Amino acid sequence: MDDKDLLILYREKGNEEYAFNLIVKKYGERLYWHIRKLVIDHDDADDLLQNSLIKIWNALPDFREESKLYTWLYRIATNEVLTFLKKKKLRSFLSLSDYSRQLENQLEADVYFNGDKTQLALQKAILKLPEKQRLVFNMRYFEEMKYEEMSDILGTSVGALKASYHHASQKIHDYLEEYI
Amino acid sequence: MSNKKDILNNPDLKQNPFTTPSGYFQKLSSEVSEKICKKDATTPFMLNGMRYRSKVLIAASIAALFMISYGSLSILNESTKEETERLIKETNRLADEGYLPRTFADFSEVELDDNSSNPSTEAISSEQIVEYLKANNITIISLSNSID
Repeated sequence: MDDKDLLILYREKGNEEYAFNLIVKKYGERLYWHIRKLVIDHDDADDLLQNSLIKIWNALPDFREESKLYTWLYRIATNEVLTFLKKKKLRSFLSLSDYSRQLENQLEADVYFNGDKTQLALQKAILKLPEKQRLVFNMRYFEEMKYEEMSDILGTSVGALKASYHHASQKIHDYLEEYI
Repeated sequence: MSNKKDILNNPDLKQNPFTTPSGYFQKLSSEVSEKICKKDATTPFMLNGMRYRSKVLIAASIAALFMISYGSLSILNESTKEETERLIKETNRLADEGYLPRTFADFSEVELDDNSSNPSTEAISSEQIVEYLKANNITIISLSNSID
């Protein structure tokens, strides 16, 4: 079922919950991976995903389709993650490098990480990037999202996103060359 | 540089290295539904997915304004009523004690007194009274008869 039909179904009286479940089934997994690559830990990702979905449920009656459903869902989840990361950094008084080191340690100990040595090195390289670059790199490299969609989600111009991705790739190349 | 590019172009690197507990995505929608139902049950502002919060807040504000206005008006009315009752009682008391005119005649008298040159306050000597009685042929007997 496409997004338009899902929204029509949602607006039919008595079908709200059923339609929302279909939205969760369609986008829940993609949103989870988007969140998980940013926070690393499964439990954090699960909490953030569920919070995002509850926010989506609450905001859905006011959704006016000014953007695509898919980009709107991503925007809510992304904002949720960025707020979480900011709070976590503030709470633990960690600098960016200290915080990325903490996430690297978490990654190495994570039972739900099955990557090989190269994949681990790639993830570590990504964790060294500033948040916005990390976000842009993940969305472009792993999710192969279009710059226009990313622009809609992040509220940044396509040009700025291309530059951000270029810088991020460069840094990752340099890191991988050194560590592999 | 080409070597560097090859590293990121490696399709294996694009594979997702993360996993989840088994059955996580199967349980996801039911877990979220459960949370939403719990939230809806504890949130009186949500009904069938429609948000009534703002409407209820507006209605509550209007009701509060009405209550405050009504309350203050009632208090004012109550005090005015009490004041009026007190004034009536006081007026009646004064009237009973003869301080206030009560009948039309009383009012006329007051008005007459006000308009006259107040002759009652002028002193009249006994000689003047006798002279007046003599001039008008009024005797003691005719005077007592007119009083009866």
